[in-house]
Amino acid sequence: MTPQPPRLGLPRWLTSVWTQAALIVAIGVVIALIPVLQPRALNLQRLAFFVLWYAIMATGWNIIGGYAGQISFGHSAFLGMGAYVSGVLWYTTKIDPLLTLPIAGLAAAAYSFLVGVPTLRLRGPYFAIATIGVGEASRLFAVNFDDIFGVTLTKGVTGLSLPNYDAETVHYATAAVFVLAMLTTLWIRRGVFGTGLFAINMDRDAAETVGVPTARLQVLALAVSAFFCATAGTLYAARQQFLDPASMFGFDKSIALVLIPLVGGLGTVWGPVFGALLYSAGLDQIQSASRNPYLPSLIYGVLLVVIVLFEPLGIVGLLGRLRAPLGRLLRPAEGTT
Amino acid sequence: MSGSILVGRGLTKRFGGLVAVNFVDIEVDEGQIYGLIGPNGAGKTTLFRLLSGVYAPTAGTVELRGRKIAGLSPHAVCAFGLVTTHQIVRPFADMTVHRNVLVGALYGRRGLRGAAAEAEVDRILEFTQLSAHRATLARSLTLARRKRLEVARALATAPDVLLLDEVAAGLNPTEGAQMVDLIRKIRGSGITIVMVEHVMKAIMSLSDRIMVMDLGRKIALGTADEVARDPAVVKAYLGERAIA
Amino acid sequence: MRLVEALISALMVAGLYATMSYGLALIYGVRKIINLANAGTMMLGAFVTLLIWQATGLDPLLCVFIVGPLFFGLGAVIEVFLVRRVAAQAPIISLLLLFGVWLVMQAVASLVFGGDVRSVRPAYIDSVVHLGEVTLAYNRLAVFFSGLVILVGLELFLRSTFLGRAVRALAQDVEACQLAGIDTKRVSMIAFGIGTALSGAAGCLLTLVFAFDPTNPFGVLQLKSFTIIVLGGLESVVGVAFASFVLALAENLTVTLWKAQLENLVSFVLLVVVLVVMPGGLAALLRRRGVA
Repeated sequence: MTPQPPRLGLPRWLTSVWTQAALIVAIGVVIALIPVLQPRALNLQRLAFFVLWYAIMATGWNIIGGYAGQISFGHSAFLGMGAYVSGVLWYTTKIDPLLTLPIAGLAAAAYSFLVGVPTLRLRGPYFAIATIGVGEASRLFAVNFDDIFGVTLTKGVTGLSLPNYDAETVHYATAAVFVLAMLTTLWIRRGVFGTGLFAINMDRDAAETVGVPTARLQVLALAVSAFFCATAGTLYAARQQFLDPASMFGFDKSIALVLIPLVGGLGTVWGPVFGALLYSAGLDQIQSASRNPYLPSLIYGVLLVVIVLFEPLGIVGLLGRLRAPLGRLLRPAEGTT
Repeated sequence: MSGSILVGRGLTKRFGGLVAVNFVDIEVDEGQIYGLIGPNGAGKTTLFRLLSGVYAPTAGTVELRGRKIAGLSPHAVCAFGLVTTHQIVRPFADMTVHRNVLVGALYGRRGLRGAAAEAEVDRILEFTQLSAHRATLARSLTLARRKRLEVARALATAPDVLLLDEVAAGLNPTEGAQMVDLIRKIRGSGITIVMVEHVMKAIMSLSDRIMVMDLGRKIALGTADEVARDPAVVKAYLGERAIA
Repeated sequence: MRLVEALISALMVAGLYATMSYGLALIYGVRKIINLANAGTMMLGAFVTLLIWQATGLDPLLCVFIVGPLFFGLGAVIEVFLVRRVAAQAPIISLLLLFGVWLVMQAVASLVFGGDVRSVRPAYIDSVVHLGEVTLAYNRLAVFFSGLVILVGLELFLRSTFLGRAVRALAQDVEACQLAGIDTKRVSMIAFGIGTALSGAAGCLLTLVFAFDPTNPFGVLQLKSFTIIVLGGLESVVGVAFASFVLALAENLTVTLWKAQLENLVSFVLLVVVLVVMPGGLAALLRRRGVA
């Protein structure tokens, strides 16, 4: 279902895996240096954090939603899981949250395995609806966790207040996780795993008959995406120092995670990044221009409809349409993958 | 060149009240082209799907080189050396011809990687005369080329047994003849072929052995000539009066 | 006695659930499209009812007669200008499209009405009826019977009128309909219109039972509708009725035997379980035993 990415006519050297990897690391380093080079620009740091934050999650989502074509409306379940695992560990045992980052990731991956094995058998729209159910059930479970188990761990709706943490350290960690996420998605997309996922995307049954272990690959893709969403949760906990189920498990986050890759370019490596940039920067601009809290969702809703109707490949697709005029500027070259 | 490679015993498939395949035995020898014909609704495609793992049998067994494969998932069956093509072709529409075949090479029995995989894809594209269309998207191909692509992708998995489901359907006489040549070439490379066909010319000229099915049962088995002359077969296709 | 009360209470809620799920079931049955905008149209139905009631004092039960035709038109417009464009593509695309439509509807309603919780309170809102030892809320009873009337009306329409049978035929085989000379495009549009009208009407009735704002409780209710139509079989109106009762009962038992807050959690878990375990739903189960 994910359409073939457009031939952008970019030169071979630019699209090679090594160049792209280097580009990713370079961007990560530049962003990491922001607090060093512009120590007073706190707003820029905040913006950078949220752009990277959404980019990490969207990139993760894109692996199951874009590459494998299984659209999930419930990924906030993994974000919340990561946030609360790290948050609760930090609160109760005083362990540095960034150290619990891998634990949060693995916990979410395990959870994704639990829900993924039965639900990934479902086709397209049914899987999407199941994920809505999983996302909402996870939220309600988090809200009622303390009541169900008779403990005082998550503090339910009141929210969990966490100790202070150095914002700069979080910034570096975020940049590092971003680089990791991007390298992972690049490696998957260009490798055997990605080819298998795209085959499943195009035609699951046909892929089965030529030897693609569809169930196994889908579950793995979901686990990787859950891992990265959970790491974003940890980073959020460390930065904002306050967690509550409504924001961590909120349906609005799940919606954002569908919208961002779609706007940016479903199933492409850089699409989620473009989308995250547009989404965060856009949200920021809209909120400063108008006090109205509902304007963003109106714009996003319209954007979603327009994209689905006219340009399913979002920004990357639009770039593809610009290829002809752009091609006259750049060197003529062979197409990308 | 002797010995059975694919054996089905007592294969039965029930869908609710309908018995699509009723206690059928099938024995395919290595290196053969084995044909399966019968009027519509005879159960041929269902039998095919039982052999390839898409359906699990209600009863009966399927053995590939002595290994039980009934009820295994299609990708596991592929790993053991049996691959199917589909009646309605299902290429990976938004992938190029090259990438379609590459999937088979990467995930097929030999699990090739890197340069070896690319070399194999080149070889198969050459073999199926699709090299010229390497960079074309599968959705842009003509039907004949899509059918060849389907076969190419299956060949990339390095099968011992290839199941062809109505691979000649919808082709004009020239394309049909090309497909027949391709099938002969495939057998020549040592792959056993089982094919379901309605295009009589193709299957009669190719098959070493033919099984005729009707209403879920085997009604005849033999060479093309033997089967063509069998009164039970004529009756199944043309009805009672044709005999009388 | 508690058991009887629990059963009747579940029945009342079931009537409500069934009403809101019909629209979804019909559209899916005919177009194999999952109408995520259903929550949006229910919500708009509720707000239109609010406006009418505030302006004229017209009872919500009677508002249905205005909302129905109005939303039929809305549904037809959505079908013709939006859904039809993506109908040929993978079903997930129309899902995403209708999801976008839902977001837009929510945002527009929020912008126009604000996020405050509203309610419609006609004179009889707090009345009760006594049936022997059982006490029933009048409004829930009214909603239940309205739902029943709509169910019966829908069944009659689908079975006896030509248009109704055309709709059912379209649900079975599009090509056969075309061969039979049925204008499939027109019937599709009408089916979508009816489905939307039903969910608008459900929104009307809901105002008698729930307080609402642009987001709540419609999202949650829509998910319950999904559970119902998957449980009840996506193509069977009778199945929807059965499944509504099953869900209502499950929720009721959760509330009385466990914790009240977990009611929705149970619904969502049930949704996932049902999707995974029963792709054909209750209707397929019933069909196999020769009932539905």
